[in-house]
Amino acid sequence: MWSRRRFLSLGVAGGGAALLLGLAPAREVQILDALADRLFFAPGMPKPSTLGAGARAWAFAMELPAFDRAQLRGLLRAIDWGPCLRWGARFPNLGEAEQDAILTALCEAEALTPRLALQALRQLLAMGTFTHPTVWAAIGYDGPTIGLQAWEEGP
Amino acid sequence: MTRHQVVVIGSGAGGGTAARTLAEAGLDVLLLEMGAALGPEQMRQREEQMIPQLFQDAGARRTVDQTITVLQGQGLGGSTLHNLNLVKRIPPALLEQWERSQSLAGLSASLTEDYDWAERELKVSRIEDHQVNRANQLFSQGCSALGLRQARLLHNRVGCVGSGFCELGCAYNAKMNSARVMIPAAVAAGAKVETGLRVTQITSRFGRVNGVRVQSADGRPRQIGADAVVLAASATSSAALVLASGLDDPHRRSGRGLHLHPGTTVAALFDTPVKAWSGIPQSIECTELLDAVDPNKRVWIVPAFAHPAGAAGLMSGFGPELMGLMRQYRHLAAAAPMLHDYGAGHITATSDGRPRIHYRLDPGDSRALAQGMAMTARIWLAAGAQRVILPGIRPIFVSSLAEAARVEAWDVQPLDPPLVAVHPQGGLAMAGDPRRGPVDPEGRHRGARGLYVADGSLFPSSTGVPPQLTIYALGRRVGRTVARDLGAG
Repeated sequence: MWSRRRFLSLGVAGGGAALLLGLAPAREVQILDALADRLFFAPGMPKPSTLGAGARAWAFAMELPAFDRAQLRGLLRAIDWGPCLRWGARFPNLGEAEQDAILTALCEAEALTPRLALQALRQLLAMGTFTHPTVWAAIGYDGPTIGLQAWEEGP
Repeated sequence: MTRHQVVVIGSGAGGGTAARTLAEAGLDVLLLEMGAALGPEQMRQREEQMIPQLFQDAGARRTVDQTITVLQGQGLGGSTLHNLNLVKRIPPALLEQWERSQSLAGLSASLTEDYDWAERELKVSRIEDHQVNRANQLFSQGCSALGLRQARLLHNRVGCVGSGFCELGCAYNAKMNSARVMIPAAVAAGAKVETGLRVTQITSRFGRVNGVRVQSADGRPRQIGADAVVLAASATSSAALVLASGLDDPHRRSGRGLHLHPGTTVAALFDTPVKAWSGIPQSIECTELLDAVDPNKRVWIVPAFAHPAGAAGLMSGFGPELMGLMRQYRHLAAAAPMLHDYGAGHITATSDGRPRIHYRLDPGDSRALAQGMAMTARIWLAAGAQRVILPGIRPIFVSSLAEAARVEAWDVQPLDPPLVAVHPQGGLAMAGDPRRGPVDPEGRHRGARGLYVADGSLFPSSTGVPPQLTIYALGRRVGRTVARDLGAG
């Protein structure tokens, strides 16, 4: 059986190898879309990838400092290529159960680094997912209010 | 090379006020800001657009171990563009403690005058009954039901419509902040302002500052000459600049004594809609667990809320367990237990003057945080919450006071719960004794003649309260010092 630790260490090794191959942004957006669809999945809710969550998250990531961008690229490569060692497929091509197993491993790892990775992905992809008006409608959020009158000015 | 009598680094509460004080004293002042000048029409109420503009490092600044998010502002007006406009003076008992421990005789009396001035300028008022939103009403009800000490907060807003978008900048220009009050007055008195310039080094010769080296957004370096430099780049960034500039510091105090006021979020689910994003986000405080000088009471609890992307990013878990909560976003309220932290971290600097923040909770702070989370859970349950959600590695649900009491035993670890710091303080403490702080009681940094500090870096300890009012007051105090030293005013 694969322990989480072994799985993650192989994942990181796979990511290291992927550093040599490089990734086009389109691939990174595809990985982000696949991650968003699992992180923010719920029956009856819009699927984040259909709303362009990956592309919006990537656009936000380009505003981050260079060090964070480099870390994100490394993390996405690790997540993308790591599963090849166990399942023979890259992350976006895995089934939902396998994708959830990877995210569960990150979420419940004893080591800090995998949990930090999941937190970073959750925050980034929340910026890609929960900024779309379709999602606002689904969660009952009113959205921007520009146009209200000042209380002090009265009705 | 351009040259000015005074260069002020940073345009927030401290820098904006210092620049105003200096310009009104007749000095030639240049105010530098690394972010952009944003008017109310550019505050679009969209998280993905505003966060990169209003927060340094697009809101992703973290401690070196990456476990605590440290939010610090940018843009003309600094952190006063995005802060939640809470106005509190430092409690007298803490000021007296600073006077004793740091040899700061007379600080309390002097600061009182500057507090009075700042409150007048910022049109500080009590948040009115009709401005207290439902989340804050529920929080207050919970405190009342438990008999906890609570109070209505003061704020510096005029023309507030209660849009609830304070942390993304005010589209209605209702914040009486540095951008609306101090900087226009500074400009009217002759100060010049340049935005989009990051200071990478304070330059000096023979122990006296002679200017700053800056970098524009496209990376081009430039030298600006000055007779005096006022550092108001924030706790963390001001200390980092001092360290990166290699200034004299025989007691190695620059960068030490950093406090973060870290906090976490305790959410609550109610049967009826709360719409906590609407209205003034914070109008009630619970001070049951807070005392400025008693280490047994070091938690300040206030309602807190985030717009959807921020809220989802702060939650734990993923998939249906997380989305089950986000689907009930309208029914959620949240509050933040924030630490009046006794443990301290320190700052180091990259070669180009960026801060590296070293900070870990000490055991006493960790225990207090658990106590604060438990108290917050009790408040929400007493207010009628169906259940309370704590941000463990997975969401932790609490539905009874007995379960809430068990939260006190939480073994707080890095990232469990995740922490966010919005009030960094310290790093360049003021002290009469050079061994206790690198800055003298009037704001002069001892590392180089002509260098002054006018922001939250000056605090010798955590204050336990939002720092903005004190930073405005210190900006004025230090501005007077500079003017006096340069023979003006």
